Amino acid sequence: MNFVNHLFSPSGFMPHGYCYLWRPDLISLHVVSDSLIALAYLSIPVTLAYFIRKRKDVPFNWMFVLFGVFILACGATHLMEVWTLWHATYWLSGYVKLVTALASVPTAILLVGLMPHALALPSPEAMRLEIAERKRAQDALLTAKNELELRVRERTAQLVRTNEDLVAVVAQRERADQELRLSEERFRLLVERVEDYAILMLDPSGHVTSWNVGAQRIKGYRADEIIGKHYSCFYTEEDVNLHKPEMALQAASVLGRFADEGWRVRKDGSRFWANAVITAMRDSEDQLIGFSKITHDLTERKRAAEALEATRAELAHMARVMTMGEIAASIAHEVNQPLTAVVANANACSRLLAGNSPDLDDVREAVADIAEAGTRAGAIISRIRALVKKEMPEKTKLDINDVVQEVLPLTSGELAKHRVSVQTELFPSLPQVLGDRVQLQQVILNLMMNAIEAMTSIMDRPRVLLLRTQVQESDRLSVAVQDSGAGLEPGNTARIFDTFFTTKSNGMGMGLSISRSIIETHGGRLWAEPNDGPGATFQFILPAYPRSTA
Amino acid sequence: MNEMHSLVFIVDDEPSVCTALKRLTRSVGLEAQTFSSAKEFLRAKRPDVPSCLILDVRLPDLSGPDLQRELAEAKINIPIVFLTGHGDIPMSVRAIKAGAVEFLTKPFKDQDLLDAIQHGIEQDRLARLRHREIFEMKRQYESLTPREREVFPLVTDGFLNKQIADQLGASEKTIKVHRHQVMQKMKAESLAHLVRIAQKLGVSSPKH
Repeated sequence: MNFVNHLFSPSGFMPHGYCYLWRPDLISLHVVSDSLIALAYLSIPVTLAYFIRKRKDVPFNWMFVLFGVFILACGATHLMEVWTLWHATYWLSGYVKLVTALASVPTAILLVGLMPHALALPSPEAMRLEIAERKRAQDALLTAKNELELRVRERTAQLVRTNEDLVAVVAQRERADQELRLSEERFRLLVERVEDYAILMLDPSGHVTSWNVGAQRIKGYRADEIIGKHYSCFYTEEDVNLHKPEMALQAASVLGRFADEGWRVRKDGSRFWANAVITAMRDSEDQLIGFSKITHDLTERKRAAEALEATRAELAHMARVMTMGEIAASIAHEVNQPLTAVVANANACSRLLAGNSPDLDDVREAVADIAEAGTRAGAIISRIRALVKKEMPEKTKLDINDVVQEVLPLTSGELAKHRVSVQTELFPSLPQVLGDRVQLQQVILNLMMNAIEAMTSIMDRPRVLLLRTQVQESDRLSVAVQDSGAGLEPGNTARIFDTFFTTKSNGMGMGLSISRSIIETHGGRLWAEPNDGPGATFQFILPAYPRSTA
Repeated sequence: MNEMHSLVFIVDDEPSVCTALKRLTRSVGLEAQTFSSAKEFLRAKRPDVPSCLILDVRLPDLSGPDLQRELAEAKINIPIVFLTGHGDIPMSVRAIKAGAVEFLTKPFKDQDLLDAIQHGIEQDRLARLRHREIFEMKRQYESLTPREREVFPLVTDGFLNKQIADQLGASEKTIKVHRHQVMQKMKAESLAHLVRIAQKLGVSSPKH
């Protein structure tokens, strides 16, 4: 405070106007001049400040600041000159001058130091030249830029087109992808919802990876119970012990596809008859990625087929029994003949032995005859028993000539009763056939009975039944039953094999239809044709059992 | 009855049955011949001795009853014992009516067959005797004169010589001679005997 008071106190000095003797004209001259200088000096820093604010790019702008401060200080000294005309604050004016000095001296020094740099600044001419040069360069650049822009536009247009194409391709691909997804989804739903077939996927080692509704229905497992488990749990224990699951996958991977039929096991342990197809799945590099497995439950179909087979066998048995019933009387006669011989021989023996000197040779002969006749009667009875016995058909290797020979004694009664003479032409060393002996006997018996029946009305020519076996082509053989009877009515030839079709007053119309079905289940064929002469021939062909394995 | 002079024929298509039957008949001392068919039997030359035919009903070609009919048509009156596999009553009735001795069902009791055979042979023997007697009577009858043949039925019809003489317009004495001739030629011992002979020969007067 003391210093401030000191500054503003006149301290006993006289105002400066005294020096000018208060002459108004001189005082005015100084006041006006110093005021104008101060005003000018105060305005310059403002202008400079404005300039450097606007031209931030001007180099050495700190120098302009220094100039501004220095000029401002100069303006302040001139204002102090005006002030001291009336107020004798020379200490203050001195300090203002000191501040001005402090601002101007470094400015001057720094200006000297700055000079080389300032001189290095281009001259306006050089600037002009450079500007012209730059303008040329700029023009060239502009041309180049224009050219480039043109190219860029072209390129851009091209890119736009390419991009549009690409967008179109991408859209198309997306559409395709979507369609594929939809199609896959539909396919997945289709597979998943199929109930009649178990459709599942396995990994290359046989573990379940997918499971559909049908699989759940047929096999009883839910998807979450079975996925990840090995598929051998669907097989029976016996099949697992025989390594069938592994063999099936092996076969599928080698052959591409493996189909199989057999018993399979459900979750609850019950069995079902299945048809299964395993298909190997490979990627584009032919690497095995797993298997698809489709299983169909054929239990019902198998049961139906077995029931049908049983019914067919039952029907064949019924027809056989009926045939035996029809010819029972004549068969009884056939058995009675050897029995008569047995009884008569036995009685003769008794009488011979009761005599005084029996002829033992005669007795021995009689006893031998008894044994022979008894054996023969027994053989006929066992043939009858075999024919009327109810058994499921069983196919064995057999010689068809033997079958013919076995049927002959059963029909000899009927042949005699109807005065039919029988001739046989049996091919020696006939190949064997695989068949059910009883059923084949039934067919031959039936054809012979029909032939006999067809000849009962014949009075003007011999009644001859010809039985002929032959080899056909080497791998087949035929049995023909030829009669000299009334022959076939042309309109009936096709119908005689129909069930319940009969031309006989007491016939059931089952014999021929059953005979044909028996021959067909043996892989053969049965048909009828008229003879060149009178009568008809019924003939069947059977495949020969391969000799190599026989 | 001399059994050495009788014969059994056996017709059966079953050889074992033929052999057994032959053995059985031989065991009681009867000779037997066997045939496997009716035709073979018909073709064979049969000795003219009392015999019996054992015939199976069911035979190939010609059946037992067919053979019976053919034999009847050929006036071969051999007694037949039928054998059949099964008792067919209508057939047995027909066979018996047609003159069969017996109808046996196989297998039969040996005694039944042997009895039937004995019966058949006896029947044949008697038939043969009867046949021979009638043959003799016919020969005697043929030795009668036409007039004697006129007198014969009138005598056996019981007419007196006088009545016969009136009918024939001859003297009673002449009729008496004829009557004596008839009795002698026919070897009749009495009128009753002559009546039986007339019956056997089927001789009767034209009026009756």
